[in-house]
Amino acid sequence: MANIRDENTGNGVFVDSNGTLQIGLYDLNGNLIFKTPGTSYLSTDRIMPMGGLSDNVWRSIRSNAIGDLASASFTPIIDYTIETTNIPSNFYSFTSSQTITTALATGTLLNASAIGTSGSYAVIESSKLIPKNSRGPLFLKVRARLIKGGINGTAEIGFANPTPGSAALIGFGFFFYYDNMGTLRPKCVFNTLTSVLGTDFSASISSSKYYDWEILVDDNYVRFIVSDPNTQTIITDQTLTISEGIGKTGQYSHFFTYARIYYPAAGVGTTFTQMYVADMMVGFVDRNLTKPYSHIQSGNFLNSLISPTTNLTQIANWSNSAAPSAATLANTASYSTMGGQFSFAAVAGAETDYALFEYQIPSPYSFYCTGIEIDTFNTGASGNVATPTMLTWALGSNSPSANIATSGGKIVTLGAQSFPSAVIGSQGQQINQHFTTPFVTDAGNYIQIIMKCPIGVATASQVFRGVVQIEGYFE
Amino acid sequence: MAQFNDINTSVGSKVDTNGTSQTGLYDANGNPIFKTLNNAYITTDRIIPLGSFSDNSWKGLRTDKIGGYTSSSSFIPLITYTIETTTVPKNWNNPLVTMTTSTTLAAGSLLNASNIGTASTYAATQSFKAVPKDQRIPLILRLRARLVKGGANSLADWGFTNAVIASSVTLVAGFYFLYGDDGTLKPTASLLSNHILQGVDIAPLIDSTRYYNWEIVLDDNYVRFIVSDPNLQTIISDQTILIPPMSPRFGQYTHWYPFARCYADAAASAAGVQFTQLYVGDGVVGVVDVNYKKPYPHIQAGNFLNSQSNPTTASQISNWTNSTVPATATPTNASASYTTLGGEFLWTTLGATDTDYDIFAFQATSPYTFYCTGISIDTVVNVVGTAGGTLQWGAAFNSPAATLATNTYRLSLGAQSWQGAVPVGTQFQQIIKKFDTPYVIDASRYIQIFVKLIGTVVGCRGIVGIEGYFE
Repeated sequence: MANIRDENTGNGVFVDSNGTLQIGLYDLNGNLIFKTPGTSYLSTDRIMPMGGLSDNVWRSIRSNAIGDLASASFTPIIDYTIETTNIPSNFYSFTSSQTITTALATGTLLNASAIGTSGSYAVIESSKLIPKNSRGPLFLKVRARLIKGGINGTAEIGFANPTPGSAALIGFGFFFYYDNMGTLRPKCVFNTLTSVLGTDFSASISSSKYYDWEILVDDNYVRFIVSDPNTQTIITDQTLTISEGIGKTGQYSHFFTYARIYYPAAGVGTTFTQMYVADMMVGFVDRNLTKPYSHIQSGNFLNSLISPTTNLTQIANWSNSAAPSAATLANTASYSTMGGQFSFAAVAGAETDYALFEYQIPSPYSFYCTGIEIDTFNTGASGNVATPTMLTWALGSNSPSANIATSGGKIVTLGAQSFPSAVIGSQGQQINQHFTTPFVTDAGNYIQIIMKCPIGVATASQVFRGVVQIEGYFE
Repeated sequence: MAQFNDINTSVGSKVDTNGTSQTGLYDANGNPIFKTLNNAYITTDRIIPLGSFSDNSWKGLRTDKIGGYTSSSSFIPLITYTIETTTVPKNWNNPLVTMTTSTTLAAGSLLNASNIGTASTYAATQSFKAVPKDQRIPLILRLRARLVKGGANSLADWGFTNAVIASSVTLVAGFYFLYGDDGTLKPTASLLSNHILQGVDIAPLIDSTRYYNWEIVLDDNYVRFIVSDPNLQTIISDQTILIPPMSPRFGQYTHWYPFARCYADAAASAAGVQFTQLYVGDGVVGVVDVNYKKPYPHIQAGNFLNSQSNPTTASQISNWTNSTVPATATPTNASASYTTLGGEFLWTTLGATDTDYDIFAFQATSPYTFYCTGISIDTVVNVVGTAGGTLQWGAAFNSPAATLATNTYRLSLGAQSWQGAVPVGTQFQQIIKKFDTPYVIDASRYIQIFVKLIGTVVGCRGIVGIEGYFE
């Protein structure tokens, strides 16, 4: 006998032969939740909310406004990666009275000197403004530790425009805000004085711990999430909506990402606000931009112009308005740079390979070489007009040693240049190589531009000059 | 004793050692919902509708016609409506007659800023580009806009239309929200200048003081119109208009212009002293459900963000004035001869050998970053040279100032040489650089093209082409 019966029809429940009770899911109106494929959608149909797991916490699955499932697909734009005792090349710093220090072990410390002088500040700000377009959410994740100081010790992390590089109030922005009275809240600012604030969670934050601080800027709202990466718990998850009277999220089309400590008035007490910023990433979600990897890396200042680890140091051999020094051709580098200008006197024809340029890839980066161009011309006296010269060029990639005789690097031919005469102004044909499949040199190894002169006459007055351009990106 | 027993067989339901009742999900015909892997699919099988959330609202998960789940990251933007200045975005046209348009960062573009209702007047903003609607590739428009509702004959419409707007009459074809001359606000499909299909009126739900999100999804068989309140995060309206069964193709046309318009089709009456106005604050048009692998530089260039014009003002940014010789440069190291993104150059002489001469310095327009993907240089002798020499070209990227004297990051571009005396008209070898890895200039920083003379001077004229995109 069934224990459950319909009160009107007397129908009883079924139990299958395995003893499984046969049940169906119905909504509150008595409609079956399950659907037959192909049946029409009704606005009264119900759905099963989906969830997923992230960092040991259950999350509701997100979609866009028309029900397209949001994927974790993410296009990075700027990262904050500490390699040395400097802040990364793609960030600027601004200070007044306060100081900034950086260490691998702890990250970048804002207000390192721990002072509370009125009007003092310490700011790190991305060199790039990041676009926020309609239907293109912007996402920021920062690993940071906030040391909560006393009254007037304010701190912020997030997005802003115009530049937050002073102690001035933020014009427009979306950021976590530790205010002058010690509350810590999500904040959206529209036109400096108009703002929306979330609820205070300062009491949930320990000054001794790093947290993940995440901000998702969408068209209609900004979501602020703070989580404890160690206990894998959510500290706060708040959403602030954009006022209905505002024409666009944040008004501006682009925003800086930043972190700042500032004292609008003299600090009170003995503990002053500081912040460690250890790691950071900004990017786009919900768009299929197909941005090439080389463009992503270059946009992050990881191209062949500057060292990826030494703050904004040019790595090609080109000093302003100066001729290159004369090369001493050998199996080891004439120039320890990533290409640039060169100069050498004509040498006797021989099969010797010369390492004209050698550049050691700064650890821990790999370098993907996507192109090389070489231009060579004769600038010496025209005393040897009948002397032909031939130069052949090659790329040494991923060489473990600076000596090409023993380096074991792999050589790739680049091309040849011929000078039938040695008239001043004679120029070899341009070598212009683009590598659809790049050549990769690992950290600590060398990329080498190798030159051989099979045909030539050693002539001190016949000087070949030129330029080598090496294109590529660091990873 | 079992808690429940089958009504026919009296088989009892089971309860496990944890006290959990053994239950299964069954459809209304008594078939189990759960499937064994590799079981055959039969048409009577049932599914569980899945949902997810967006802007604090639950959404039914969308699929394509063959059950492929749709991803939010499949969205490819084609055109944005991004306000940077006090004019409509440079990739949008602003046709108008008598009515005016004003634009501010704070409020967006205001159509019918002059607040008039004169018959046959209008003001519109419409993309220069018509976007394609292909089979199986839905087109999506999202506008953040505020409708200020006026009186009779004071209309507004916004959505997609087939042609350039040049009047205040009903659009030939399109899919749009229409605030009509009777004060109703309805999703509308028009063809042959007639409103062939309309949804239900939502005008009473719209507050003239608020911005809303207005979305239109143009799919093969239907157009979906969604209005949501971005502040309350509620759906105001979600209506779908189906393609008529006799229509071979929805909308007839292959390409559509996103637009917004205020107009008066006859002398309008004001609601109080208010005629209809429309603020457009932000917007985007794109396609979904397609894997074009459209390269990012193409997406940006399609949005008028390539090197041909200023990203905020639409002005040409290379040095080329119609039918005009370029100004003669007096090149120096400390400052640029031309503050343009390449173009024509001309010098009659250069100074000391090995000095780097700053020929072009262009400041990347804030707030945009410029990605340089290529440079070409063509040089022709225009003042006779008496002996051989070389012009060695370079570029400096992301310089903080328009000078080569400090803080530049240099890249060689190539060399152009000549032997002995060279007559006027001699052309040096062309320099063409294509950067598979682009070089990047942040907002307000400079890209500089410079040249170094090695040897005997010649006067030169030429052109520098710079290719790339703004982000």
